[in-house]
Amino acid sequence: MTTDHAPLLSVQNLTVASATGGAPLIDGLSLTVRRGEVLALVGESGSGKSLTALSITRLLPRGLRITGGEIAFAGQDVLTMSPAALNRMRGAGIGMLFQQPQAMLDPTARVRTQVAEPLILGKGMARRAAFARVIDLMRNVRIPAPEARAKAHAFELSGGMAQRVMMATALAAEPELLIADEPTTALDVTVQAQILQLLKAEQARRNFAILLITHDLTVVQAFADRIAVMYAGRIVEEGPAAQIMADPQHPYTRALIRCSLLEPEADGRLLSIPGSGATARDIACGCRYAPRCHVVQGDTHLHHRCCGAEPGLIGLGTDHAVRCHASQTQASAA
Amino acid sequence: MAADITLSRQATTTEPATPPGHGPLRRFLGTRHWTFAAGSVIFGTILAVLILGPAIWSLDPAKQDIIQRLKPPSGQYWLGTDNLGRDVFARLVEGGRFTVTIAALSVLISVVIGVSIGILAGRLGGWFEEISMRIVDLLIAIPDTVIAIFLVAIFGPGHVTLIVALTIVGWTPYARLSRGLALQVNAMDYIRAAEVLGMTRRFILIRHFLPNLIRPISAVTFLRFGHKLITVGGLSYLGLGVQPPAPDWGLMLAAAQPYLDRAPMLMIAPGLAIFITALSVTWIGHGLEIDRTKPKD
Amino acid sequence: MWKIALQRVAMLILMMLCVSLLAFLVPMASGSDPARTILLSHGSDLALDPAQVEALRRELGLDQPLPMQFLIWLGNAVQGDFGNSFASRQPVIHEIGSALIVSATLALSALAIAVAVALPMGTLAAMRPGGRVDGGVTLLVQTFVAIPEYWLAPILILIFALHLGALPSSGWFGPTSVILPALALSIRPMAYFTQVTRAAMIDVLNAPYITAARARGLSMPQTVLRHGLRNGSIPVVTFFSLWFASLLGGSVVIEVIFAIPGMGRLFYEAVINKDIPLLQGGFVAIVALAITINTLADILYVVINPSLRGANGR
Repeated sequence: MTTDHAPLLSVQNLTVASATGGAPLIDGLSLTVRRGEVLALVGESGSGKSLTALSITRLLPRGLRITGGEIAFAGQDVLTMSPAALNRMRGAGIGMLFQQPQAMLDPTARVRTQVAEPLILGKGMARRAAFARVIDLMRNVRIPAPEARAKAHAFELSGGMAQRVMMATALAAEPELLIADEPTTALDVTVQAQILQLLKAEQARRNFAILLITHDLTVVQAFADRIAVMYAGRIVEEGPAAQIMADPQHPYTRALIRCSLLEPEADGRLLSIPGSGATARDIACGCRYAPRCHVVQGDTHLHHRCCGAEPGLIGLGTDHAVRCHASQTQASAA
Repeated sequence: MAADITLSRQATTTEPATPPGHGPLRRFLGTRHWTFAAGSVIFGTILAVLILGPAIWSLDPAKQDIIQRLKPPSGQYWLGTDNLGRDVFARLVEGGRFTVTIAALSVLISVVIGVSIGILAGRLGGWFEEISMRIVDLLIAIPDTVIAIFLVAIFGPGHVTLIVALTIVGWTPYARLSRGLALQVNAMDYIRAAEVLGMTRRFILIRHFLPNLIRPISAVTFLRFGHKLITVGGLSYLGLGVQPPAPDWGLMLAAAQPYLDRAPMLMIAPGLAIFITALSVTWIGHGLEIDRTKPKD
Repeated sequence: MWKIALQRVAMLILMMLCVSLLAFLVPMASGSDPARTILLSHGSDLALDPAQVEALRRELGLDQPLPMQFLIWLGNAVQGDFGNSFASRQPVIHEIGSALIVSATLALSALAIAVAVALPMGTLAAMRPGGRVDGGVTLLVQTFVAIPEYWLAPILILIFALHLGALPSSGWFGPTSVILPALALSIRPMAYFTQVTRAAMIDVLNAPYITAARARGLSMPQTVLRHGLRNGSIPVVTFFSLWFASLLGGSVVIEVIFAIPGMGRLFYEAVINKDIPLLQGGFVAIVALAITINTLADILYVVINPSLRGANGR
């Protein structure tokens, strides 16, 4: 599925900070999404995943600012785009899914009004034609009885149904990239699987790219072409999904995988990462993960190194890169 | 996403407040919105003029001079003269003493009655709460002026009736507010903690209850005071309040009506007096309500 | 849901009973004898014939015990019979009817002006809370709250009627005569509506569905128009009803200044003329309307907000 074209989305050294100053919330983040591929951005809550998504579409909440870096979508500079061009990009270029689908629907508007907006306002379709198209779109995302649901209000939909509606809306204008921010986190487990299958099927059919933001590695395994692991506002490991799942290099990635697969440790306990998820704001050490890292603990030499300076993102062969002193030492020693 | 946005909110609130100067009073003033200072200065000036004015300028609001009637503002008559040749400025000062006093008295009585009933309702609950809050609902639904006029119809016009009427319509917001605050304070842990520690009810009430009430109540008091001023003026305008020949801002406005074209100052002056006084107390109330160092939303 | 509705109606009836009792007691409290007042109002300034007074007292049921009198009065009142006005000798209910239409027209015009200004102003302020526009709007709101409408009215008359000669200065005879009183009356609700809109819109514009709307390519104005205003105006609807109720009987001063034959002036004149049936009827009518409209507003609030309907289970 990977193609050799120029990347569809390219984020370089993105820094996001509060308008009132203070340490950045996202600090020098880089990632690329190629046409037609699925990139999973994985990390704990507070690591800056959602802010990354909102930065790409320039929808950061009031009080937050992009203070540095570059974002290019389909060869265009997103940071210098005119408001009108941004609106075009948001409708027709990038679609978005969010975590709380019901809260994302206007409580006073009918479903079809909202699904039709990218068609009527973005593509200039006539109202009647757009409403007819809405029924097709809703049928595409397997909404039963789409004619009736089109006239419903948000509170009449279940979470899974609301996320399907959001999907129909996001895909209405045939975007090249879909940013899905924890699209299944708030849903029942059975519904989660349905939504993901649907997403996968639609992606295969129309061949758009997906930037999937999640904390759940089980989701990623079945779904993503590549994985980028984020910790405290930075990418710590990045590479092909199969390779990272099979042979994770960063201790954080390893811990995440072990946690999410629910594989018991040797002594029968479930693993948990000590401490709580750090944001880019509370950094005590050179390497942001060092305070919680089990590799560092008990190794005085490493401890000195990891706390002294932050490791760079070093390539480990094609496409795979990691930001860790320990792994890099092992790699160079090998 | 929710987590990230919460984070950003925190980020905007962590800015340290830097109050200029020391001491609680300076700190209090330092965190006020500018309207608080402006309102206080204007209202203070108005009060000073109303209280000291007659003594300083030896004004006579009743002196008629039919030759000098309906004169424009001049060195002798700062705001001109009315249809009987009386000094408009002198009458404005004299009238303001009536208007402001009546509004202030009715507000003060309303506060005392409203807060007492509200706290009792919040603390006692039961049928007392039920009945008093239903009465509040009823009184809030009926237009102020209608109740006031109805009472004037029963007791006849005059400033005592005016104060009684304004109090009957005026106590409800305080009752509602202080009941709400009382319920809130009831639920607070430290009140229960104080009770557990064996403190007497009266001590709890004085030590913990009242301080929590004072700020919101005083903010509402100033905001309502402006409203009361306008109502007092309106009722006097209708001839239902202060009776002539005693001057009152509302009465002066009414008397100016026939001379609108010839002597507009006659109408502009008393209205402007009500407006500026009402605006200044509104500003004070607004300033008390808003803490500049806290983010507005 | 039905239980709550029933409770509210019961409360409404109870309140009305209290108010009726109050209205009924007016003549006793004011110490005037209706029979004497009626005879006097009929123009005979001769000494009243005691026999005639006594006959009328019997006719009016004034010789009955007080509770009985109240029941008779209430029975008539429920059927819309408050007796005849002393001044005009017309049935009170007719006078009230025609005055209500006038006042409703005036109130709706004033509120239309208020909403037309307040919605955009409150929305603009909410776009950047704490910004310059917001500060300006807040200042304007405070100014509007502090303006006495009976001062604004003569100023408007001075400018538009006396100097420009563009609009009539008083009376009630068609669309042009509504403009000035409606404008004067609109100033205070305008201020409150602006505040309410601002607060509601700040909440709404922070809502997730606004971000979602932007994410599907809607511009900020489109988002505000299509998804912000509707949600933001829900509390305004409640306030609209409250103000409508209050202006129906409460715009006394403006109706007097502009010589408008509405409820407020009718009530005012009843007081001035000691026209007791009119006073009683007017008071009961104004209060009944106010309470009913308030109750309706609560129901409307649920109707306009579909998610509340959902919460109450349908």
